[in-house]
Amino acid sequence: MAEFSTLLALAATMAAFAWIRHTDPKNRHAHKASPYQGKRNTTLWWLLSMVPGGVLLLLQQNAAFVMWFAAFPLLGWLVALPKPSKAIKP
Amino acid sequence: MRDTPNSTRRFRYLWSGRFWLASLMALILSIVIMASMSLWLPEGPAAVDNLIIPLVIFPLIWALCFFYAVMDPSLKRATLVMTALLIINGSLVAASIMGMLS
Amino acid sequence: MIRMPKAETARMLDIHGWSAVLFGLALYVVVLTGAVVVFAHEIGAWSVSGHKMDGALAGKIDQSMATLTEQVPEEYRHDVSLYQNSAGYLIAFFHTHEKNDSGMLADIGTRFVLDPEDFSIVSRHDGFADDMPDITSSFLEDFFVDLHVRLHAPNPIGLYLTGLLGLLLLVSAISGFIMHRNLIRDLFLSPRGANRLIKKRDKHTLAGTWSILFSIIVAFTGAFFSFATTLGLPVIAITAFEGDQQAAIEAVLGIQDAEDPTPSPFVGVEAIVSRVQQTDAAGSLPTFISIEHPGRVDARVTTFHEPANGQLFGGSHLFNGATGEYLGKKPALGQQPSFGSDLISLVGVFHFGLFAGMLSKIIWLSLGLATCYVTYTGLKLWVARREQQARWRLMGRLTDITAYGTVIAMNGAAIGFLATYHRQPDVVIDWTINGFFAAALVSILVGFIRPAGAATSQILQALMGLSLLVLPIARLITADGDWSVYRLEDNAVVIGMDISLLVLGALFVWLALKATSLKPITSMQAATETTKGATTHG
Repeated sequence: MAEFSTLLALAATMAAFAWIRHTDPKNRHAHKASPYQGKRNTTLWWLLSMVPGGVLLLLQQNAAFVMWFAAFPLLGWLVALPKPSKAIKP
Repeated sequence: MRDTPNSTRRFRYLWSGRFWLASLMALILSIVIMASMSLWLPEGPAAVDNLIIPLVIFPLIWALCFFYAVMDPSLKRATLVMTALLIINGSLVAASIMGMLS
Repeated sequence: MIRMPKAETARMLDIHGWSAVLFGLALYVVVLTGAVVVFAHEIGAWSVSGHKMDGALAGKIDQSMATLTEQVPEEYRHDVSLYQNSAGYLIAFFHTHEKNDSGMLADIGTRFVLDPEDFSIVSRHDGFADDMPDITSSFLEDFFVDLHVRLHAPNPIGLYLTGLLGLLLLVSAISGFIMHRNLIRDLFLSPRGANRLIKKRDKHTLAGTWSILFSIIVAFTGAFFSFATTLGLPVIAITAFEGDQQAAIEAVLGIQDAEDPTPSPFVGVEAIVSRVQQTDAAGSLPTFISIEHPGRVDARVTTFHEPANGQLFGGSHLFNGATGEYLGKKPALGQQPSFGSDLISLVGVFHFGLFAGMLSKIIWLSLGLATCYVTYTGLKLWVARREQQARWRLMGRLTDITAYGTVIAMNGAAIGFLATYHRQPDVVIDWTINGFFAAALVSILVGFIRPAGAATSQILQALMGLSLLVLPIARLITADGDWSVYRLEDNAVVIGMDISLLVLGALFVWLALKATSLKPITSMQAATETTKGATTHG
């Protein structure tokens, strides 16, 4: 049970990370992709990335929360590491 | 390495007051703070809190002392602050060892 | 991150770099072995190819315990510890406390290693616990744990060493955080390929930034574990207990009320184990049982348990050893629940990552490896910026040798263990240690024979991959051949470990091959360039 809720929370966090990265201006610029045109709402997406942890805490899933908390930076790194493909649409 | 006029001297840091403040002083001060904390922290319901908390946060106390010694732009002030803390906490510890607190 | 005057930034950079240059390699070894020993129990079970019985503590044990008690000197019957090691054997340690040669109170008694099925005696040793020979069945696991905890240095020097390395990791992480000016802005900046140095720096800072918090947590909890008993407790004993360490320890552990040596028959382990498994108590089989004063009115039994599903803390439960009465849950420290006791449990949760089975172990292993990666890339970056100088190229070589050689040496230890455990059990300990040093020597030779550079690190990487691939094969060849053990729940990890090792080994060999085949010319060029550099500057 703890495993399942952790993985679910991590998947949600990863989605938020993927979006922040996709719209990251410095990353796009550094890898010669065209700038992202829409509104970024970075703060909102950062908050969203932490919501799963908050939910686990509220549900008193302590073990799941600590695992999510520990894996949070791992996920961020994992999402940030690969080079963006040049084909990404603005 | 920075290009200071002294940069050719191998062990030049041994003559730097900040080096001694960040190494020896930070270590002694953090140990003394840990010891004195066990005297003034509340015991808690199981009478272990005052013993456990200083033990657990000792590495953090040390890190605080270390980075304070490194970061304070004024070496004089850092020396004064750390010496004062050492004297205050040290005398508390000494008083307890000599049985003056019981 | 923090705006600082130039002098402070430079000082921070000096501290970050030089502390890593001086102690980074030792830190790497401690962090890597720490990441690996998250799986200590799995390694233990794997190294003996699984064991033949789960849950030996739930067996019909009372009769055997009574027989053993009669074989033990009267004074050693004071306390008994009981547990099943990861190789499946049951360890029963009858002991009391006496001052050792250095004047410290230590456990002294008789230790039996028992067969879990019929409780027959496999081995018996008498004396101080610290002086007893290692238990061979768990030696590989213990060897790795000891490497992490004290770098195999004697007590308390080893603990001081690892404690200082913990403080060093704390310094590296915090100084890195203070130095990095665009911390938030660069969080999703994938390493730029513009040039070699920028790429190296981007890789290091990206991994470093994301792992800062975890590095700080493991560094500070690890330093706590090293210093708590070797420095903190003695200092606090001097301050608050007039130097009486025993009084300090008793206050912390919450030693129970007045003793009463009136004889009274011991209720037995079986009754207590079956009681504690009921849902109103722990609801699970204990992993460790501690019996104080069996055969007396004041006998107490404490059972220790892994955390229940979804829980962070494992619990311990207290029983009256004369009546069998359940006295309730016992806090980790002290006699009543307290903030201090929860704090210690939390420190354990965050340092070990063992609270939620496989998933939490995998996460903690990955975090540990990430910290290793940060250390390695940081040192390589430092060296790359100074590779015109021969001594820094030597540092680069040593970094590669340590990074890959530590794994190769650990695998060598495992091969030494596997080769002898079933066939020549008398020399298991020697061969495990020999295997470690032989493999370390091979890595050093390989690292030094070739010119320093990308090609050498790829060869070491390939060698590391190969050594991982050899492990499951060596285990299959040396195993007893009794396949029925794999039916047991505990032994699923044996096959799991085999598969993981094969996958990891293949991955590293592939990565090394890919790197060499992608740029055979550039790596050759690099090699010749560095040789040239060595001849002109060396």
